[in-house]
Order: sequence, then C-alpha cells, then structure tokens
Amino acid sequence: MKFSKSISMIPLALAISNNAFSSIKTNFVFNEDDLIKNFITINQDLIKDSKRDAAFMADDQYISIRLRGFIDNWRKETKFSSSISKMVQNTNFKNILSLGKPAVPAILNEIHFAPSNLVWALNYIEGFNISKTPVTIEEACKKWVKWGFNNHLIK
Amino acid sequence: MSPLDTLVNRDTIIQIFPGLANDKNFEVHSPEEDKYNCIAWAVNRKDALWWPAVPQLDGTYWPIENKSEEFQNLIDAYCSVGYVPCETWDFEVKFKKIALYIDFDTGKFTHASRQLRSGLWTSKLGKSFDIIHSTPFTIEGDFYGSVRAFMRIIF
Repeated sequence: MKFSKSISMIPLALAISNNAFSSIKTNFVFNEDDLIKNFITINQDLIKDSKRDAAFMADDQYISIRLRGFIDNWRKETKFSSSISKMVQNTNFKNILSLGKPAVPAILNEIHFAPSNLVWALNYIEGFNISKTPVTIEEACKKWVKWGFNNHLIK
Repeated sequence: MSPLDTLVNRDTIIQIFPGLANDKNFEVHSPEEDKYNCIAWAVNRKDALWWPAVPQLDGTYWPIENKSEEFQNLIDAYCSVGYVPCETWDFEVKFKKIALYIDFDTGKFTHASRQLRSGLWTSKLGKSFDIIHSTPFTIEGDFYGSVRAFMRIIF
C-alpha cells in the first residue's frame, strides 16, 4: 500500500488507534519515517520505469526487431500474391507503416543490404516516389539509400 | 531438372495450387524473387512489377493510363504492348500465347501465365518461384480463380 506524507492522514491515524505509533493494539503500523522512506522509494521506481520505457520505445534496436517481425509475416502471408493491392493492404504491411518515420532508418538498412519491395513502405511513410521515371526495385532501393545517406538517416 | 524442384518446394506450392499435384510437367524453375510478378513475367519482363498500383509505387509499372483492376483493363494493358485476344490455348508455332485469370467474385484480374515454345506453360507465383505447368488450368483454384481469356502475339 502506498502512502504519502500528508496532513490529511492525521485524522485517519488518530481514528485507527489511540496510540497511532503502537503496533501492539493494531496490525496497522504507522511509522512516519517509514512512510516517507517508502514513498520516496516507490516514486523513484516509477520514474525509473518510465525512463526505461521511454528509452526502450525510442530504441532503434527495438524498432528493428518489430520491423523484422512484420516483414517476415508480410512476406509469408503474401508470398503467392501478385496483387500489389493485396500486398499493401496486408495487416503486417500496415503495421510496418504504423511504425512511422522512426522506422525509416531501419527500413533503409533493410533495403540497403537486401533490395526488395519493402521500399514501398518508404513511398507511403515519406509520401513521395524516389524517381519520376519508372525504375526497377533495385534502382529504387539504391536511390532511397542514397537519399538516406544524404539526409543523415543512415551511416 | 531445376535444383529448386525439391520435395519441400513442390509441397509448399501444391498446398496452394492443388491442381499441380497431378500435373506431370509441374516443375519449380526459378528462385523466389519479388522484383517482378506474373503479369510482367507473362510478357517476358523481369524489370518491374506490372500492376495498376494506386498510388504509384517505386518499381511498379502499368502500360496504360487506366489504373483499374477490372479484368478488361488487363486485356487493354496487354493490347497496348501488341497482344490480341484469341479463342484457344492450343499451341500454335508462330504465336506466343498468354492466359489471363479472373476472380469471378470480384471481377478483378488475379494472374497471367505464358505458353513456352515447348507448348508447356510458365507462371510466376507472386513473390515466390517461377514454375512450369502443363496447361493454364492446373493452377486454377481459390487463389488465382479461373482462366477467363487468352491472348497471343507473333513470336
């Protein structure tokens, strides 16, 4: 149970026992020093947790792992489909898009090492085509990677 | 025989296209590849995915303005590169023939396959392998629907 030091707690403590600091007559142990100490401990833990979560969410590695999972499932589920409409409407592809701009460096790394139609995710997230003239998937990937280097999104 | 024509690869494909189980000419022919699709492969192209993608995606191509997935639009697209409708899938020495598939539930095109000089047929299965099959009909089913039309062009 969590308590914070507060004037509002005084009536509560008095109501429980005539001797608020005695542990003999009641199971409720009310020690102001302990309460302060616990309160500080609890809140530091919460702060640590939230900092850790924030760091974890922003972590590139975390995005890469999620992206890899979505890509694997996307490829598996659309393996025999020729329809681009079905490929981009697949839930896993939508999940890739939902990662948004923070996933762009990871996507660029993926297509840098293995050019593929994952490049379409960049069309949707960034909102433009890398070339005004028709290009192959490989050419498109190369151009996007160059764009990524130029914009300091990948090293 | 292609080194890709393994039992595992064959079984994976037959699960999706059960008609191939009894096709004595069924063979897994080329590696898995996501940089072109069946519609491009039918006209012997490997440099783009032919599909009326909206919005236009990098590495995709469609030869005509109309970006509909209605079946007639596939016929129009192939007409634009010199094919003309024909009655049968019978082998004719002077002509290269293609078969066009439709999902009758949606009225949209799903797939295209091409006749080889041997009289056998070849299909690119989505992002997966190119295969050889005896007739256009052995890959009919839930996934690609049914053959709806044939077209031809002089070799």
